[in-house]
Amino acid sequence: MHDLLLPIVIPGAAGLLVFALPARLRGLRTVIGVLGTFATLVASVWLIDTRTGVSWTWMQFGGLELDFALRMDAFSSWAVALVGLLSLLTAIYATGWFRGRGGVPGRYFAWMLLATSGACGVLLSDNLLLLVLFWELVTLMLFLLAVSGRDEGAPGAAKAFAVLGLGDMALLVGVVLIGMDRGWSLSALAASPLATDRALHVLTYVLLLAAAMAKAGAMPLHSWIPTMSTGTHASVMAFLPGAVDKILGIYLLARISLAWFAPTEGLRMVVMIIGAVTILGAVFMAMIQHDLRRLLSFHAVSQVGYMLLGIGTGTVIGVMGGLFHMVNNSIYKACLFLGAGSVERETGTMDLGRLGGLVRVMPVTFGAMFVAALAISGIPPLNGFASKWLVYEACIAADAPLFLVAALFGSALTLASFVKVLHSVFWGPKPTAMDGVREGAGGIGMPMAMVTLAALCIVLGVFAAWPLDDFIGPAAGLEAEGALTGSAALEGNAATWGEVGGATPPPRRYAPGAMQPYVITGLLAVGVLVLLLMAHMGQMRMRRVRPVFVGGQPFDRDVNRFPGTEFYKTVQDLPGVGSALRLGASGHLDPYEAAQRAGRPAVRLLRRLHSGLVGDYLFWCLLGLAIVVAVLLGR
Amino acid sequence: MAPIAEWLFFFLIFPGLVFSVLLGLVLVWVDRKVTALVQWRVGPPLSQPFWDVLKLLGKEVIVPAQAWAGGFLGLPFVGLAAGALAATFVWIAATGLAASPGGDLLVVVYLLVIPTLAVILGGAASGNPLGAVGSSRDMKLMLAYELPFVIALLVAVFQKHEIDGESVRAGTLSLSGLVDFQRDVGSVLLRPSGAIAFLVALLCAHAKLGFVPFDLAEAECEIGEGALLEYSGSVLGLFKITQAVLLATLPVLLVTVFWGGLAAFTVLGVLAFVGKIVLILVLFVLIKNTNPRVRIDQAMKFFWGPMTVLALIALLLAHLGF
Repeated sequence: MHDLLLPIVIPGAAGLLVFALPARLRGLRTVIGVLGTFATLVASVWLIDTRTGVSWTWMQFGGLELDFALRMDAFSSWAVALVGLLSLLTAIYATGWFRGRGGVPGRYFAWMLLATSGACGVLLSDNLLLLVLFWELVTLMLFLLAVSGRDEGAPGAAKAFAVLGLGDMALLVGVVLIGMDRGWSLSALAASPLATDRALHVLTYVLLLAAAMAKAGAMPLHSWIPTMSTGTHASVMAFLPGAVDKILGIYLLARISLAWFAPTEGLRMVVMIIGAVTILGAVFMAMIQHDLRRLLSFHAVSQVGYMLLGIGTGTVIGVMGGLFHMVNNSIYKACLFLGAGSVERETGTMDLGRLGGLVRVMPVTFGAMFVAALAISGIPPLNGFASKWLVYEACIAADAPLFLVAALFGSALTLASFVKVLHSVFWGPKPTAMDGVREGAGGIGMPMAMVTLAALCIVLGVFAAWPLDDFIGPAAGLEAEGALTGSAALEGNAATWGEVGGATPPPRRYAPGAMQPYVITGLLAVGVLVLLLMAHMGQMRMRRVRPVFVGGQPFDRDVNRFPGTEFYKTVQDLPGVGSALRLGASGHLDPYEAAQRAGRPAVRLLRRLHSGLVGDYLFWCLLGLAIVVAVLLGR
Repeated sequence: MAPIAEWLFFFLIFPGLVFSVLLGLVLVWVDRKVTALVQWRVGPPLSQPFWDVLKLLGKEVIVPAQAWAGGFLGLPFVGLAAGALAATFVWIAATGLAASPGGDLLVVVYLLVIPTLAVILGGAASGNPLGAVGSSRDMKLMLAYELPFVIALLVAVFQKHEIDGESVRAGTLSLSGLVDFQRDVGSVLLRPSGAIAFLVALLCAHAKLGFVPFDLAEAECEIGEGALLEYSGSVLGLFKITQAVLLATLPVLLVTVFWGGLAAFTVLGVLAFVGKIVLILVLFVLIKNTNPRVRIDQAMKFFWGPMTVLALIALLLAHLGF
């Protein structure tokens, strides 16, 4: 068997095995689930330096030939490994998540492994039709995972399936349009990209862009993520909409924008505008949410905007920023969803107004979520800052100050939103209802997954040069440029300001800004240590613990509260901003709801036609037959 | 090894921690002295701010029972370290002390967020509802001023000039790059766009320092110092020192971005540089002493409304070459 098949076949086979096992062997299913994802990770790491392709003729219908063609390049290699890692961590988490609530539901691990297999397949496909098949598999598995063992997941899963199905349809149409013109091989397509000077090619690009946006959750095709979040298992949210769907969507976006098409300035501008609107629109919506899962899913949408913005600039530094942000987002967003799940599991609520004071009883969850929250807010020296900084520099390189303002302001709003989360969940007075809450009933799996992800947030931030040099840079096309490395962007090398594909950047008089994460981290750490040492030698050891002082009144922790849900009331009351937020919350801007409203007359008509009378149906059949005959005779 | 030693010196001694703390406390004295003069009083001696801080550092720390003690006690340290690092980058770029890498405008903007964030998180972690009110106000105030602040800073980056008939703009976020640019074409401040942007940035910096009329996050008479309510002793002292470090950094940042930094390393040049900083400081103090406190919604409307519009107009003018 060819090596490249491993990341697809291992999880696929393990998934089918779990599917086939009888229901009472629940323990064995779980073991296979975790081992299968682990084996996928090992295989993908083992393959990470492989650069090869392979192709078999698979099926032939008349003129249509379906090749089973795979290839691994500088982009797909680490993307597959990232999918493997995330699937392993969420599988480990799932073992704890389901403990004590009736165990892992029947085929959960089967769907999960098949989704992993499908995601790896998308990343490795070298044939357009094959890519569509795998892409479809992931969508289907998302639906099955969302409804497995949890009835309240059904409406959200249906909405997700509808929106993603629409995206998949756009993908299929786009792929067929390409295929009829240029054949199905992706390597051949990448060798001579389609110019977007013809209307048909622009249409194809837009169709594929819509598919990528639906999968990644960019506005306005984002609404399935928040709806789905409230009824779905935390491990599923962290795995698919939080991480892997983003990777697939952004993978497709990067491929169409950098390899398969040569988008014009105007199309790139469209991508950047969608990015900026997504950043700001979603983060404003996140700020006013009261449900932790919904809040997190709006952030999951908002972060996509940075990736679109970075890739849309078309500069080397922007593409690197966008791809690096995709990696970072999948890590901290998975961590946040898992942390929220852990809170939900122990407290039974996700209402930010009812939570509070959990920092002492859930220290591990708090620590992981604290790091991830600072990372998503882009606080240096964590990973979110490194990738956002690249995107900011890309906006300067592309002479786009307003986009830079949107990105920076979005980042400030993200920070504000997470201050609210941290305060409402972990700080503030602990309500009496939270008194019995303890951490750790789910076993070692849940903390292990969260802590690993939080640690990665720190490592990828402090040593940002490492992923940029070894993985992101080559994927952004620096391999072809020879002397340049990924971290050249961090060092302020003006060559990274040029367009992807080696076009020389416009001459600049002044060197770009530079950012050395390890200098910032090192000095901050030294500073804190020196200050702590001085405090230790001084008087800081003298400490007393006293109850808080609230105007000298006896303190009632259920009454004397200022929960995080009150934090941004002022923003909601501002003229302009407030009414825009109410409009967003009403669902009028959601195409799914709009389509529902628009489709209602059609449904009513169809319902009236369904009279239940045999005679009516017979009439319709005969009418149809008559039309068919008429058409045939007419030819 | 040498660059590490050099960086440690820059960061810990000059122009970082020690220098910026000392200078900051002197500037706190300037603030108090000028305030006193405005209010027809004598004012404190130069040594007063130093004694105030030293006394706080020697006092007992009281930790609220409901607080997250680790963060409550640790965050002031992080805030001060970040403030000192921002001071290091800004001063090095302003004075051209070293061929400094790392002096990036956005890195500095983010580092300057951390001290405020430390106060916000510390207040939220104190377990006191009034502290939480203060934190939420401080966070909203930050949202309010950061938007016009970054737009105003970008005016310096995108202001169009002509050198030998060729259209030139700084087009870089490097602070020393901005200083070089202004050495070539003159201060950003001298053009209409630069003047408007400077004014906006000045008011945003004023809010960033938490001065009246934007002291609503502390508002002693309403919420008893807000986020700082539960702080006492040395941790409170650290926050006061951090405040002084910011006071020694923000005027220099404005001078660097809009007013050419330390243009020449001569007696006259240094005097001009110091004069600019003192002038900005006196402007701060005068605004502070002639305005009553605004409410948080008024502050947000002020910054997201007129200030943001002004900053955008300045950006447009800069783009058009004015």
